[in-house]
Amino acid sequence: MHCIESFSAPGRCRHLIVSICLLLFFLNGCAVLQPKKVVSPPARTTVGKRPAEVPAAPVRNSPYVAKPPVKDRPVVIRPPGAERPVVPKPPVEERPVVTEPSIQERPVVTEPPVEERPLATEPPVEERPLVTEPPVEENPAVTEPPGDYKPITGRAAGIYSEAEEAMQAGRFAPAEMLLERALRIEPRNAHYWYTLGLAKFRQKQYPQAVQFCLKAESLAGSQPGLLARNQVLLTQAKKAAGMK
Amino acid sequence: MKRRSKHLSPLKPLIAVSVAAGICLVIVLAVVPYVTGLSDEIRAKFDGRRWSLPAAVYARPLELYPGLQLSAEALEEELQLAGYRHEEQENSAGSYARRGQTIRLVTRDFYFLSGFEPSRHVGVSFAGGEVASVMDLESGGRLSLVQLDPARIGSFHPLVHEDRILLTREEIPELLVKTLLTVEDRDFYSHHGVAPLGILRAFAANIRAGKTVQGGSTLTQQLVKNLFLNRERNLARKIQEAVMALLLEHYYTKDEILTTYVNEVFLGQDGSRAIHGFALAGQFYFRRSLTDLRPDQIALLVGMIKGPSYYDPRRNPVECLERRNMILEKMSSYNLLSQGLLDESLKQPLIGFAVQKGGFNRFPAFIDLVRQQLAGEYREDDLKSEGLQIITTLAPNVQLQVEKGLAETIDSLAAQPKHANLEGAVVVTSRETGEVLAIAGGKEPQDFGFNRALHANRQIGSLVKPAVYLAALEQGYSLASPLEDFAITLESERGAPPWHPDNYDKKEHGTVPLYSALAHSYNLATVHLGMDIGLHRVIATLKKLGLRDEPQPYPSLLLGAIDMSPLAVAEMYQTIASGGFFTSLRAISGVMAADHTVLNRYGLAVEQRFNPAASYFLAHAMQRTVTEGTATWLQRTSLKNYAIAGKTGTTDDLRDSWFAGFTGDHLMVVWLGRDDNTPCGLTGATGALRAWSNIMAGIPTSPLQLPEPAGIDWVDIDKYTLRAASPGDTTTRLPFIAGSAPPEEDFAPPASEIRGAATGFGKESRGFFETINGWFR
Repeated sequence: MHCIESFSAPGRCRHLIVSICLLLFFLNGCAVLQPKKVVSPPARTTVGKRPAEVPAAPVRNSPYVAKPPVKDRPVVIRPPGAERPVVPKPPVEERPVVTEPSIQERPVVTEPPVEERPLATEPPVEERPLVTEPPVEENPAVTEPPGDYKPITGRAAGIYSEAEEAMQAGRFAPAEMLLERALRIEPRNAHYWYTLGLAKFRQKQYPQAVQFCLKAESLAGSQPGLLARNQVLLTQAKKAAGMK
Repeated sequence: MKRRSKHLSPLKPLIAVSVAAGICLVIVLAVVPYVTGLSDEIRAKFDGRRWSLPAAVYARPLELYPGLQLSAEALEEELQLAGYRHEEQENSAGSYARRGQTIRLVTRDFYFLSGFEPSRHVGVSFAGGEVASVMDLESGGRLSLVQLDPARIGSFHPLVHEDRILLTREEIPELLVKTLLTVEDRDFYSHHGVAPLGILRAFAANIRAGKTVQGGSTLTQQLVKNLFLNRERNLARKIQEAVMALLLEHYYTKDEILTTYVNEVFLGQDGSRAIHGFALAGQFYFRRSLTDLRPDQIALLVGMIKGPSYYDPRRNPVECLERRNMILEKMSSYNLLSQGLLDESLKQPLIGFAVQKGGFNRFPAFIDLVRQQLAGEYREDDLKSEGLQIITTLAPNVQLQVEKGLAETIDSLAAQPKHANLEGAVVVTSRETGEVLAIAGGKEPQDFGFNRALHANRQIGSLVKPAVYLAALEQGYSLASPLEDFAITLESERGAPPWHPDNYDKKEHGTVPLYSALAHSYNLATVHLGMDIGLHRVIATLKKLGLRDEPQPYPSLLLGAIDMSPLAVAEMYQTIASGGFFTSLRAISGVMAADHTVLNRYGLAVEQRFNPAASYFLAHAMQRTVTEGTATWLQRTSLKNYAIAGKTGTTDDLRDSWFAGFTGDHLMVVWLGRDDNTPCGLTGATGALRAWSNIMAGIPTSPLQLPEPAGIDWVDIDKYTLRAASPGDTTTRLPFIAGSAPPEEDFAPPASEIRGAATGFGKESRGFFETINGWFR
């Protein structure tokens, strides 16, 4: 640039240095001029850490902020048919229909197969004087027929006893998970299916309780104690579900 | 010069300043938008990388308990798949040691759907192909059950074939940080993104050494380079990187930059999958979590930064070792290692075991199904960026056996030219719970292409018959009901040529009992039966079994002129196998958020759709398929005492070969055929059944014991007269609804009377002669 050429030599160097300094200054200054982004999104932890509060939906947190570990771990389990906090699915016609992800989308009670079954002999009520049927809406308790009944347990006995404890403590959802683990090990144990029915009943999921009772019945073979208990639960669950 | 300065001296400062201001203004106008643009870009990249966590997909957790059918080899295979290290002594989480028939292992912390379970030190001993005992090695007590952390089998990530294991700053071992800074960027904590002194130092060192020994880039600059994946090395890029590095330093803290660097730096390639981040590299090369890495292993990884391909321990072990040792020396000279530790580290071999693919991305066909089942609930974007943890139902031991058995069978069959170009698909589920244990989408398990198990819709042929017979049994037919296996011609309403079905052996077999018609898969008897009870009933039964389509009510449906995928077939047969209880097939047990809250749990759910007696009779007839029908070949295998129930399926011109069968614990559906739908020359028995048997023989399973409903009579029936008779050569023992077995009589009453004998659930039943008249209309 001819302006610079017209400067004296020492002046030329000086101004060149000034220009460079100004350039660097402005470079830095531009950065300074940008508003500093507020970099503090809600805390998110990576694998291995637990957050302080646990919301129902996944929350985006920073993996670089330490969070103290928490003792309790709330379990969010949505019962079938409950509201889903996710984006609506595409209409059914567009989905490649092979299998559906969960039983929640399927109406559990279609036609009641009960009328067609001549097998389940339900003794008339008069023969079971000890069965009381409390109002189901308020207190879904199941009174069981008397007589000693020892559940038959096999290799999953340990898991099953944990499940029993959970049931007695009123923690039915965890009990369900334990029972499912037990059923993976002993899939044909009728008592586990019955207890699963009981867990569903206690959670007021009556249609599914009915189905588990039916399954237990199909596997109970000749275990009169279990069959009797199962029958009681089945009747109550059917009534609560509004089935015949 | 003196003259010039004299003339201009009063104006000099003014001109100088205004010119300088002009230059700066121009520069500002050009520079500000440039810098703003870069600033936005780098922040978006940085944040995007920080926040996106792929969804991790896990196999089912293995439960070990005394009595579990599992060999020591099978457990080792599972552990290897889960990335456990095989060592002389099991010292830290994720390692195991084997002494003969005992395996000692240390499990890893894991958040299961049911809660957190800490790492445990256990010993498992085996006897006779079973787990004999499980001990807690800390307390010395016996355990009734221990749940192993599951194998990670895949992930969903925005960039194809990439994955991360992200760490927080606290999770990064100090030795790694110090080594990293020492080797790559000594002034990290004091510079502002670009370190001119560092450049100069590196320059000097390189000149002194005669080659490039030091890089002048700071960690920040390297991070920028990594985030952009752009391999162009020109001046413009360098300037851009420098500016971005300055900006990063301005916006983010040193710790954040360091952590992201540790999580992002490129450290090698595994086929098409890039290894980014030290945690993933630690897993990939050493099968250890970062905290368990030895100093020499840390040095190796840090050494790879300079050139992951060049210093790849698998490809250039010599250079890799040299660099590792150089770094170890450097660590020692900076007092990061004691002398003793240095000596020990220098002696360590490069890698303890051959780097092998663990469970990762090993089962694309199954992941396909997982993705499909999730698609209904989650958006693809959520899957790829929320860090979900998906626990599936995949049983690796079953899956591996499926892959092996299918490949072996196809190879041996395709050796004959007439069976060339054979492909197959397999689905294995748990008989009672409906969990999908294994999927094979084709002969090549690692093929990411067409998943035949899910998407190959093929004619099912004779596989449809159980639906017809089940419909009949629900209508009041019994296993001894006589069926007419005679030729039949069916007129078509549209003027198309009449349908003239045939048996496979081209013969007519006369009057046959219902169970035999199913066991031998007689076409004619089935068509007669189906037309008798009505196509609408057959279709209703198919839908109750689980068919989701709406088939056309053509008589050819009775012989399986309907397309289904192997998975859909499995879902139908699941209802039969479970005794009439429909349960939709599940590949996922549950989904957890990145913070381990359970978002969704897909629990057990069943629905009784068929009466237990009809289901029982059908299953019994399907057992006879194996004992006396089309699948007798199984009687010659090791599976002969398992009382397997099954159905062979063959289609027109032998285009498809099917077998669907179940044992006490497992249901498996196998399809063989050609992708181009040309005849493969195999029947269900000569093709799919062989693969089925090959696979099932390698899966620990239990014999089938059908749960007998109440009110069943077992009666000896003469096979020819179909009347009750005393046990003899021509009799067979069949189950009936109590009181409905055909009586012992001298004369044979009309078939309609027999059909109506079973009471309670017969709806309409067309008279026999009405039916015949209908055909000749």
